[in-house]
Amino acid sequence: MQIHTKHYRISAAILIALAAVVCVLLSTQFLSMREEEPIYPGEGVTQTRMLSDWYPAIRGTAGDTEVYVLQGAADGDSMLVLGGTHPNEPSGLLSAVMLIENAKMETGTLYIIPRTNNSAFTCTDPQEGTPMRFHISTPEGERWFRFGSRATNPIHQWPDPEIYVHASSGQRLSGSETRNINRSYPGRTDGNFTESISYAITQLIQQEGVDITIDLHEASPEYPTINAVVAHEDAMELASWALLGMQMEGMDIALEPSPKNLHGLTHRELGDYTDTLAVLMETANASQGRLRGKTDERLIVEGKDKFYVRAAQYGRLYVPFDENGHPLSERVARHTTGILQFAQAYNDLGLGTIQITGMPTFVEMQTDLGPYLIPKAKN
Amino acid sequence: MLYVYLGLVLLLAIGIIWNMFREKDILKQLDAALVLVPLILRLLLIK
Repeated sequence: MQIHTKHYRISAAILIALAAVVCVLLSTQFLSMREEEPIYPGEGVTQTRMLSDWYPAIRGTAGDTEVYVLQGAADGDSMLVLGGTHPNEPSGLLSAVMLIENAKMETGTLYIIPRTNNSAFTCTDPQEGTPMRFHISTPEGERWFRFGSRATNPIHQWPDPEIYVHASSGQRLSGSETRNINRSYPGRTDGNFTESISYAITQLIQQEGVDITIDLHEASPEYPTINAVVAHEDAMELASWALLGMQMEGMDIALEPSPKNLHGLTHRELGDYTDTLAVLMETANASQGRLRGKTDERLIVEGKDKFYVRAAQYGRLYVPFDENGHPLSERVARHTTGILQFAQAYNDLGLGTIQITGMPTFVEMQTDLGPYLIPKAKN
Repeated sequence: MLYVYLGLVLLLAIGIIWNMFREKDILKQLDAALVLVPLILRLLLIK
C-alpha cells in the first residue's frame, strides 16, 4: 500500500519532529538507569574507596565503582566479595548490600564491591523484556535496586568484534562475550574497557594481598552449574570445608571444580594469576531462564514461575522447583551464609583469621530481607 | 574504532533524513522515522 502526498516535505519534517520527541521520551527512561540505587554503609564500614584507587586509568569512567572496606580492630586476613558481576543476577548485588549495611569485622578486612560491572547496571539486555528496577519492602519503606545487563553497556564499549580472543589464553568466544567481565580476567592495561575493569580488580587483589575472593552469581534453573560453588583447585580444600558448614545450615549445595580449559572467569584466572583463593557461588534465578513466563518484578523478587514448575515435573531442571519458587530472600540467604561459612572454614583450617559478625542467620534472611535493609540517613 | 562507527551512524542518519525529504510515500517516511530513533539514541550514546 502506498499513500502519496504532494506535501511530502512537510510530512517528512513532522515525522522527524515526532521522532525527536520519541527520542526525548525514551532518553528519560534509558538515562534513569544511570541513577545509582542508594546504599547505606553500616557501622562496620571503615572506608569507602573507588576501584580506581588501585588502577587510576579507570577513574572518571563508567567502570569505576565503589569499594567498601570493613576493617576489623584486630589484624587478620582479608576477603573480597564481588557482587553485581552480572547485574541481571540480583542476589549478587543484594548480598553485597546486606554485608555493607550489616556486617562488622572483628578480625581481618572485608572488601566488598557491590557493582563489579558498574557499566552493566546502566542498561538492560536487549529483547529480554526485563524491568529496569525491582523493589524490596522494608519496615520503614521501600528500597529500589536496578536490574541491569549481563554485559558492559555497549555505549561504553563498541563495536564488538566478531570473535573475542581472550588475551592470556588465546581462547576464542563469541564477539558479544567481549563485554562479559567474567570472561575478561585477569584483564590487561592495553585491552578493552571491560578488560581494564577486571585488571583493576586483579590489581586490588594483588596490592592488598586478598586471601579469599568470592564472586556471587545466579543461573537459570535449567543450567547444570546451579546452587553450587565453583572453586579453583587451590581453593578446593577450603570450599569443601565451607560446604560442610553450609549444609549444616540446611543449604543443599554442590561443589564443582573450576574447569582448566574455560578461561576469563574469576575462579580460574584469579586463582592462576594471584595468590587469592578464588571461588564463585551460584543460586537459581528464574528471571534469567529461557523457559520463564512474564519477566516482571514479581518474578525477580518472588522467583515463582508456573512454567518452571512444569519443567521440574518433566525432570528438565537441575534444581528442585515447586510453587514456592526460589525467592530472592532465599538466594541472598544462600550467598551471605556461604560467605560467612568460607570465613569460618578459613579459620577452622588454620589458614588464617577472618571474623565477620553482625549478620542475620540463614533462616532469618530466607524469611524476609526487609528488616536488614532498612533505609538509613546517608553518612 | 568507536568514532569510525559513530561516523557511520551519522552518515546513515543524514542519508535517511535526506531521503525522507525526497520520498513521496508517507508510509515509507514513517518507516524511515522509526529507523531514525535508535540511530539518534546511539549517536548521542544514550542507548
